Amino acid sequence: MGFFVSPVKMLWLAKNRADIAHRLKPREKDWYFTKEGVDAYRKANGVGAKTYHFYEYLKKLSGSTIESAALLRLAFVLAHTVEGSAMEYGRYPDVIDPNKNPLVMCVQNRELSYAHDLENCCRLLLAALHEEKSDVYSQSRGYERLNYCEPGAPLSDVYRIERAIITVFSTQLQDELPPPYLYDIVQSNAPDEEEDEDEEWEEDEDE
Amino acid sequence: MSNELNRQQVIAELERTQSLLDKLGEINRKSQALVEERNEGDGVATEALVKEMKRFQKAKQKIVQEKLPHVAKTDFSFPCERPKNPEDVGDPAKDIMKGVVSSVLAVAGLAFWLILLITGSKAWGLIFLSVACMLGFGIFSLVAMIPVRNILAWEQLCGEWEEKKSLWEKKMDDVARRNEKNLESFRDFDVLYLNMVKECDAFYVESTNNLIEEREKARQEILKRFDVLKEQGDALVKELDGITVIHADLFEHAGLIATLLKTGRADTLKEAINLALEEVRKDEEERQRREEARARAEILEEQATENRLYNEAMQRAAENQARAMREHHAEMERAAREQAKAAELQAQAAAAANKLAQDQARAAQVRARSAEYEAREKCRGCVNSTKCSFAARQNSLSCGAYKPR
Repeated sequence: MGFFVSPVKMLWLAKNRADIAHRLKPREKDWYFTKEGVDAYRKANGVGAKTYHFYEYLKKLSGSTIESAALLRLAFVLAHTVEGSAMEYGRYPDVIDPNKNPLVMCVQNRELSYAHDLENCCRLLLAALHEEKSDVYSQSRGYERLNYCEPGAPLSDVYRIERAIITVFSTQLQDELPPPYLYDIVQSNAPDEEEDEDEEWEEDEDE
Repeated sequence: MSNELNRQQVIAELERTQSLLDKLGEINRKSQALVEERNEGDGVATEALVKEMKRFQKAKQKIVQEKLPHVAKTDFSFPCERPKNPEDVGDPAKDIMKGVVSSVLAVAGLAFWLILLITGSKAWGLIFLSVACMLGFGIFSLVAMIPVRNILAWEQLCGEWEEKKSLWEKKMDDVARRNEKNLESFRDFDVLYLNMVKECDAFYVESTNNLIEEREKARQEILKRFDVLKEQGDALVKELDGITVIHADLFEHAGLIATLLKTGRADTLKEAINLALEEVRKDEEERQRREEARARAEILEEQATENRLYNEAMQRAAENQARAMREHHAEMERAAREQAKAAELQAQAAAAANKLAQDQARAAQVRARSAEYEAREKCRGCVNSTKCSFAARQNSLSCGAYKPR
């Protein structure tokens, strides 16, 4: 009967019932922007704890339409490079605000759910970071749109975020170059088909 | 004689026409070959150049790839999800209170029941009440404490989960530290990579320019040869235009007309022309007939092949079916034999069991008879044998009133 539960545990439970009731309350996405959410974030010590805090928020935001592997990686990028940077959304809670952070907007508008693999997620996020169309990083000269740092100069925030995205979202780093660095000597230098069509059109007009 | 001379002249002219046509045909073939040679050469050169470019890129890229910052493949997956919240959780303090109070009452009921039992009380009402109290409050306390147990189990799971989470967080911290080092290495990698791209682009431009130059040279060479052939062709055409012995539409039959005249199959030119056209028409019809016959033969052969394949397939299917039937029968026979064997063994076992039962029954009978005999003997030896009832005498072995005579 009641004797199967230790009296010590019962006393502990009675004493901490308020805390338990509070922990049992489900956290919705708005909670992360409240004072409680901000305090919970401030208690998170280290990249790992922040990553998990962001991951739980992104899960709520995505409504479980995006695979957790992609969300965990994005949460890591946010915790490691975005939060604490000089970007306009570099402070909490702006870092998780989809209206301010374009990377988080990709989660809210389900764009990440259409990317079938991590390489596509990488291209999507790089394009979102630079507010460009996602297919520019699929083209043969996608690397031209990346930020580069001069030797000796400090690494810029955008550089750090880009390289973190590339590192974290590429699964075959050891076998071949990751997506924005893909280069093909023929495709990269071949004249654009649109330019050729224009020339043909002009020739036809001349005839 | 003048007719004969004319005839010879006509034949010679016709032969010359045929010869000019043959030469013109040869020149056309050579021109066509030049065009094909130029196209093929372009294709081969382009293919070779692309291969060379890819090889160059691969060699350069290999060096750059070795300098790519080494990032071990990290498993970002979380070890397990947060434990699900227990359902129907009210106020734990109230549940505990209910559980404790009803436990106490249950214990009181138990104590009261024990007291009644020890004192040997016959007050069934009180006994029933105490048992009902004990069971009722006991069950109620169990049910009341279910949410409490659920919360405690959840707490335990949460504790385990927190441990796994903190390990995972430490792993992420390590990954972040490694990544931080890699960001600096990326700077060097970027320089190497951009140099590689520059070199490859320069190689592309140089190779393409070389190819264009070579192609242009080859084209000029071919154009020169083409011009020579064109001049020769124009000369031949001019000569042909000068021929008036037959109409230009009949030039292709000039050789045949000449042969007909030479062999005497036709006497005049007009006759030879008609005969030649007739022969050409017949040849064409013969060719068409042969073509149709060949097509028909092909169709028949195809049909025969299809029939043969179909028959073979049917035969194979029939053989497979027969084999399957044979195997099935063999299997059935084997199963029947095994079944018969099992039945026989079962019958043997049943017979053995029957015999055993019979032996046991016989032994029991013997034991019963000996017991009866023993009982009768005991009764005979007892002073009270005549006073006992029939039933008592039947159970005399266990009789408590035995008194020897």
